[in-house]
Formats: sequence, structure tokens, C-alpha cells
Amino acid sequence: MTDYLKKTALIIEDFAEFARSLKAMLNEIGIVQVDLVNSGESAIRACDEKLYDIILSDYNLGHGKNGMQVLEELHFNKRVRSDAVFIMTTAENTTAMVMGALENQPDSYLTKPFNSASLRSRLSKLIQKKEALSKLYQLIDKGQLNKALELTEQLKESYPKYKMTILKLESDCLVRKNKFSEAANLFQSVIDDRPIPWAMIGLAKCCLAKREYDQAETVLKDTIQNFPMILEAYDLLAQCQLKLGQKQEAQDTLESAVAKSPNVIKRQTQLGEIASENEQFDRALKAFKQTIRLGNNSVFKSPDSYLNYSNTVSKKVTQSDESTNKTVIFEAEEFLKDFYKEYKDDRVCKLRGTVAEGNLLRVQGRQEEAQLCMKSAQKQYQNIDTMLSSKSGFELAIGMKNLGDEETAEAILKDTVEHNFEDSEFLEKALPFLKDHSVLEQGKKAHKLNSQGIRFFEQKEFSKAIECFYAAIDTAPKNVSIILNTVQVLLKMHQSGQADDSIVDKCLSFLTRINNMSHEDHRYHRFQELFRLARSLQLPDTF
Amino acid sequence: MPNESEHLDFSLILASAVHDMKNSLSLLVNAVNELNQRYPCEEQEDRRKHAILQYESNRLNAALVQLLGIYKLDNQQLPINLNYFDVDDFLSDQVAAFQPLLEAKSIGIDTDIEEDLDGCFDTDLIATVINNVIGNAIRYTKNKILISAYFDSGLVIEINDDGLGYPKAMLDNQQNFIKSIDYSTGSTGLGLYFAGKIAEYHKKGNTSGSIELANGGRLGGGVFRIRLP
Repeated sequence: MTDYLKKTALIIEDFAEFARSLKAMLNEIGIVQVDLVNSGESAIRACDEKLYDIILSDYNLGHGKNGMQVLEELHFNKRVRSDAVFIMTTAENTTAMVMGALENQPDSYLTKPFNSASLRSRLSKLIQKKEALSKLYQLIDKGQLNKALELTEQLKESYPKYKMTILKLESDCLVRKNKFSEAANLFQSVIDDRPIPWAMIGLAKCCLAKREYDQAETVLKDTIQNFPMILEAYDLLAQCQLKLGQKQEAQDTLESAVAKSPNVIKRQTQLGEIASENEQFDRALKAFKQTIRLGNNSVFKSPDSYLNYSNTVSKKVTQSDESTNKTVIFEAEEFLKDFYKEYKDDRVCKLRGTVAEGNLLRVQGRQEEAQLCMKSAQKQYQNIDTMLSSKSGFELAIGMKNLGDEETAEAILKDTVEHNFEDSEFLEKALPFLKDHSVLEQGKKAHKLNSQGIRFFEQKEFSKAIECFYAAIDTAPKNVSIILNTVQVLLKMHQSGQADDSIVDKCLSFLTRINNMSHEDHRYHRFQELFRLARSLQLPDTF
Repeated sequence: MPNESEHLDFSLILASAVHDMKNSLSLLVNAVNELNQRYPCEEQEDRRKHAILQYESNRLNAALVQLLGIYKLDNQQLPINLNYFDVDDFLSDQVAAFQPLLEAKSIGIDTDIEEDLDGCFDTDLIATVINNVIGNAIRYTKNKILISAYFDSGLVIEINDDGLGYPKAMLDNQQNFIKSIDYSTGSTGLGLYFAGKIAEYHKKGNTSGSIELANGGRLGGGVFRIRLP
């Protein structure tokens, strides 16, 4: 029996009368710790304060975020435990909702009208299921994937009823461990019986990860034909087509996804970027404008939207002399004003804005003002203390080059290449612009030394291994992936007693070289973990 | 082109009108249920009226869902979202939705579901069908309903009642009801047409789902059967 008295619940509902009636239903079931909020924004705040066991959210929340955006943001910020129950209530058919990412789906939908008997029936089943699988969820949340995988085998036997859910969690674990072939087999075994959307999307993602683009394309086209509303399939297909060099097809694919659901920032951004590459500037501008508008109440609001708009206008004006140019230039100027206001405390944004503004002036023939921007940008760049992301770095390098400062452009690009060595897509774009390829050679050499070190490590020749690792970092002193990989192995050696304490100080000094990493960087979490680990290993000596 | 955009607009108008009406209905039904909890009906006559409120609001809701559904079917906008579900869980959810009405009308409902039976279907769509059929069964049964589910080269769900059964003309012509809308027959035909289409939407290889009507069954009344491969 579930002990409802101990459960905490949050109701997200903008319609006061509904909220009240929902609360009465929960009370009737025996759930008394119930909080009410009336908007997505206040829901996010409520979840920041406490982790609820049960969340009931209306899909349609009036102005601001809708229920799906709330769930997406909670997942994104890890403010909802995976063993919590999230039910989306809705007055309409759920079609519109399943169009979002398949991994951001609620545990269940309840279509209005429903009574307390329905709610109780649904809740009790979901809670039972989450309780049966709670250990598995906890292991996954903690990242203990091997243990989680072991547990799935056991659970499949004890709970045949939840077989599909367990299979899905099992495949999630395999994907997170980069075991794409095993995961693909699992997805395929599900599909062999039935074409189920999550399995098809899962299989396609594995194919993409294994760079089997032709196969991914087949699976995705099949998915779209069977389930035209699963928009994730279009996004992945576009990715796949880009890899296959089919840029126009990729644009068309995204175009049909946007026609079905225009309100996803990431998709509009991608459409804009591809359209711009395809030199369809008006289309690109329309998409970027949409991303600015959508950003207003989303966690995915990004400075990129504004800069993309301005930079695309500059490109458009350079390429053609059209009557619409005046209008878009004016708009770009207005957007840049908003942008400065919005991101006034962010130095990287200010620099990117200055370079974008300079180029906008340049294409209008206002050379003197453009030069002033360029000089200001040079100064700002000297004072930047945050690592540039591959996107910002590339954008700035091209911008400075267009403004006539080849030297700064080269310096930015070199730094960015070194910091983002593992980002092959970026490298491919950046290399044609890079004059001095030595940074590339050094990166490759460092990688070789790193793998050599790992080989020595496996052969238990620890001192030789350490030598290789140090040499790797000496060769590429600011290469983030080399530093992270190397420090990880070194600390592991220390922990198992195969290296002395001096190695910890060395690791800390390596990590300090890249401590200007932006908090938004996808590698920041790993960096932080390693830093913490190194610090904890160092402490005993200081006492 | 202009034609196409008009289509799209009408679908949006219909959808948002249905949305509003369902919201109103939701509030209405919840208010009725809360009133009943606070002041339980004591007189037979009051219970009967309460049952009417319950039943008719449920019918209205089903009609709205169907209206939108059939419009979308016609415009090929009705997507299917397949997943695996535990049949017992699914059916007990559907029954729970009728709990207040069943109590008000003193109708007993039993389920007989094969253990660990799962099915692969679109819950939204199949729930609409089952809802309609249970609603109808409640209307025509004397005092019992039995929902059974089993595996017979696919998932089979049956809803049995102990009423008078379907009229012979309807049984004889059921394929016509299912395959097309006969505007002279009214809503029963519409419901069957919709149910038939939804069943057909569920395919595995070359087999499609289907529905059928019969009399007799385990309670001696009407039987509605849906097969999903």
C-alpha cells in the first residue's frame, strides 16, 4: 500500500477553479501536502525549493511557459527526480504534446474531464511502478550505470509487467556508456516486433553516433512515414543529411518540421543556420527572428539568436543589393540594442556584439565607425578571461577577419581550436581559415602520447605511463580534452596507489590552466568533478 | 493554396472550440461530483437525476472528442502514437472514469483480464473507443457489465452487457456502419465508424485491427469486440 500521507504534490494550473478541484481530489485520495502554483515560472521556483513526489501540470498554462516547457526545464536543471511521478493534464488530445523530444515525456497524460477515481487509479499505478523500479532510477540518477544494467536483468524477471520500461531504461544506460552497438541491438529487437517510436529514434541515434549515416537515414525516413508527428525524427534526419552533404534536403526536412511545430528554438536556430549556409538569407532571418521571439520565456533563450540575426544581415547585404536590405539593417540595429541591454554584464557577449555591430557598419560602407568597433574589440579580447566556445570563437574570428584584423582572427581561431580539439564539426569549418596548422599537429601528437600512456598504464609500466602523460600536456598545454583525459587517468593511478602524491599537485596545476572554462561549457561538469577530486586527494598533506 | 489555409484554420477553430467546451464540461462534472460527496443523494429520484447529469456530460464529452477525431481523420491529421501498455492497468483506468456514474446507477462492472497481458496501441485513441462503448453499455445494460481481455493472435478486448442486445438490423448491417457514415442513423453509427477507423489504424505487418458486434456473450446481452493485432 502506498502511504499517501507522506507524499508531497505540486499542482501547476492557471485556472483557479481547476486547481482547487484538483486539490480536493488529491485530498480525497489522502495526499495532504499539496502546493498550488498558477504559472510555469512559479512552478520552476517551487521545484527549486523542494523535490516533489508528484507533479500534476496542466499543458496549457496561458501566457508564459506551457507544461511541456516546464517539464523540459525541470529535467534540464535536474529538479525532478526520475522516481517522481509527473502527470500532464490536458483538455485536448495529446498529439501536440508528443511532438516534443521523446525523452522529455511525462509519465502519463490525463485528459480532462477526469474524476478522482480516474486520478487515483492512474496515480496508484504510476507510484507502484516507480516504487518497483526506484532502485534502478536511483542508480541511474547517481550515474552508477554498470550496477543499473545488472539490476535491469533482475527486474525484468521480477516485474514482467514493466518489461518495456525496463528495456527503455536499459537502452538509456547503454547509450550513456557509449555502447552504441549493444544499444542498437536492443532497439532493433524491439522494432523487429513492432515499429515503436522510442525504439526507432533510439536506433537512429545509435547509427548517428556510429557514423552510419545511410542506415540512420533509412531508419529516420521510415519513422517519419509511420509517425509523421514525431518531430525528433525530422531533427535527426536533418543532422544526418548534413553529414551526407545534402544541405538543401536538410533545410527541407527542417522546414516540414517547423511547419508542424514552429515553437522550438533549437530547431528554428538550426533551420536558420542551414538556410544561411545555403545562402537563403531571407529564410534564415525569418527563423532567427522567431528564435528571438521564442526566447522570451524559455530556458533556451540565447545570445546567439541576436548575433545570428545581425551577422546574417551583414552577409545578405554583402551578397546582394536588394530593396529589403534597409529594413533588415534597421531591425538588426534594434535587436543589437536589445542584446546589449539583455547581456550587459557578460564580457564575451559584449565582444561578440561589438564585432557583429562593426560588420553591420562595414557592409553599409560606414568604414570609420566599423574601425572603431574593431579597435574596441581588440581591446576587449585582451581582457577576456573566459574560454570561448567553438561557436563564439569561430564567429569572432570570421568577424575580425572581415573587419580587416587578420592577426587577432588567427589568434582567436588558434586558441579556439586548441580548446575544442574534440569538436570535429567545428574543426572542419575552422581549418580552411587557419594559417598556422602547428596547433593541429601538436594536438595530434598529444593524443598519440596520451594513448601511448594508456597502453603503458595497461601494461602496468606506471612510471613510463606518467612520463607519456606529462609529455602529452607539454605538447598541447591548453588542449582541454587532453588535459581532462590525462588528469583522469593520473588521479585514478594515484587512487590505486600506483603514483606518489606529487602527481596530485601536478594535476591541479594542469587543471588550473583551463579553469577559465565557461560554466555553460558541456565539459565544465567533468572539469569540476576532477578538480574536486584532486583537491580532496591533496588535503591530507596540508594538515 | 488559399483553400489549404482555410482548411487549417477550420481545424484550429474546431480544436480550440472543443478545448473550451471540454474545459467547461470538466468543471461541470467536477462540481457535480463534489456536490454529491458533500450532500449524498438519499432519494431514489435524486440519484436518478444525478446519474443523468453524469451520463449526459460523459456523452457530450465523448461526442466532442469524436467530432474532432473524425475531422482529423478526414484530413489525415490523426497521427498514431504506438507504445506498449499493460492491458489491466489501461482498462481499470477506463473503468475508474465511470465510477461515479456506475454508483449512481447501481451497475456492477467486472473485469476478466489475462494475467500480464500487454498490448501495443495508441492509448488516447483506444481510450476514446472504450469510453464510448462503456458509456453505451451503461445505457443499455440491466445491472451488469463485464470487460474481458485476452490474447488471440493479437489483443482482444470485449465489453459484455446483460441488456437486450443490439437490434438485429444493426448486427446484420454492422459492416456498413463501420465502413461509412450513414447520415440517417444518427450517433450510434458515427461512434462505430470512428471505432472501426481507429481499429484499422492499428496495423502489424499486413493485419489491421477490427471491431465487431454480437449478441449473447458471457452476460447474454450485447457484446462489443475490438481486435488489435
